[in-house]
Amino acid sequence: MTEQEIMSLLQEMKARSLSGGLSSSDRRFIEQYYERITFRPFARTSCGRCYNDAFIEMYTTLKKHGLRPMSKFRLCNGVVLQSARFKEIVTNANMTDQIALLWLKDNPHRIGLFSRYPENWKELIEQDEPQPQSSEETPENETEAALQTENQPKRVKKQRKHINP
Amino acid sequence: MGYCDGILEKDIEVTCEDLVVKGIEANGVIINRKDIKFSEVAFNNDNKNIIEKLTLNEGTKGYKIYVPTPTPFSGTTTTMEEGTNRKTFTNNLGFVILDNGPEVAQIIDALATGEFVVVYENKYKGLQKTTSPGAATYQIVGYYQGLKASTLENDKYSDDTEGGWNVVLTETKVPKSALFLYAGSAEASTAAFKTLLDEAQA
Repeated sequence: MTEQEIMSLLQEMKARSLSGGLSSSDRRFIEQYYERITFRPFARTSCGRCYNDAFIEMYTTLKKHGLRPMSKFRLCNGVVLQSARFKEIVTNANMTDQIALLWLKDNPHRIGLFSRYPENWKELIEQDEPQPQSSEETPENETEAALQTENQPKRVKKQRKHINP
Repeated sequence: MGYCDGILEKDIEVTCEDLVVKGIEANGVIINRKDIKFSEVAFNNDNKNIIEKLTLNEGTKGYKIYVPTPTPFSGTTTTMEEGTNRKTFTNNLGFVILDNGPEVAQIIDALATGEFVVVYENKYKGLQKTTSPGAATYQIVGYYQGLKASTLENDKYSDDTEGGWNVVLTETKVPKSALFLYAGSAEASTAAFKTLLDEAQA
């Protein structure tokens, strides 16, 4: 299903959610697509409000971030990645393959903090070299930007002294 | 040098900008102690009363404790005990389960036989402190010895439990007075607390 199709279905569900009348097919849809959108597994429950809460979360996440590609990496529960070397705090909610490889390249021992990762993660670290950036390209996220800025050699402009004739 | 010389290195004073308040918030997290990935638990380099990462094993998760009473987790205390070789601490964590039935009985059976770690949120968070603001928010009990049930009581006519269960979990012989979950900032600590409840994925 495309992002537009999912958003269109969520828009239809909005009215039913507000009136507390989510149908059984709405609930099945939430169970099916909750993890795809929020990157967190959905806990099936008999709690009455939980499906409504899940719908709200799906709707706001999709509206804010769009349909992001799912990461092959997942952190263990309880783990939040934070370091002075990186701007962003990383949880499973904002994890991407690029961010995971960036953190692992910085310290490969962090692999112990992941509950799911591709078997060839070491090769991926070696392959994932930062590409030279043109002035028109913008980094996908701040974490990458922070590290790339750090690694770029600083250019010092030499000011020419104007000599009065 | 003696055995863990207790040298005082800081002033004992009151932070007037952020005075301490009593109480615990209604939501906590209880974790089976065997689900803690001890090899990946990270303590703060400078302060061993701070855990920066409380990592869980793959495929495991914590469970919410929700206590919707005027004084959630009432009966939660820490007291010093004299030991043979050193002084230690006893942690008590008290809460009520305002529910009853077969599913609750399964929970009580698990509490009766298991060992647990609980992370709870203090009402006093220390957010106005200049160093490590928010470090006082999340407190961990059961890390060293595991919390074990010392009281599991169902009184059908108790006003405190209204037919539910009174639970007290106890951890003894703890070498530290308190452990806090602090991931470097208040925001990161809140995120870490919430991720303990994420559904487990193997």
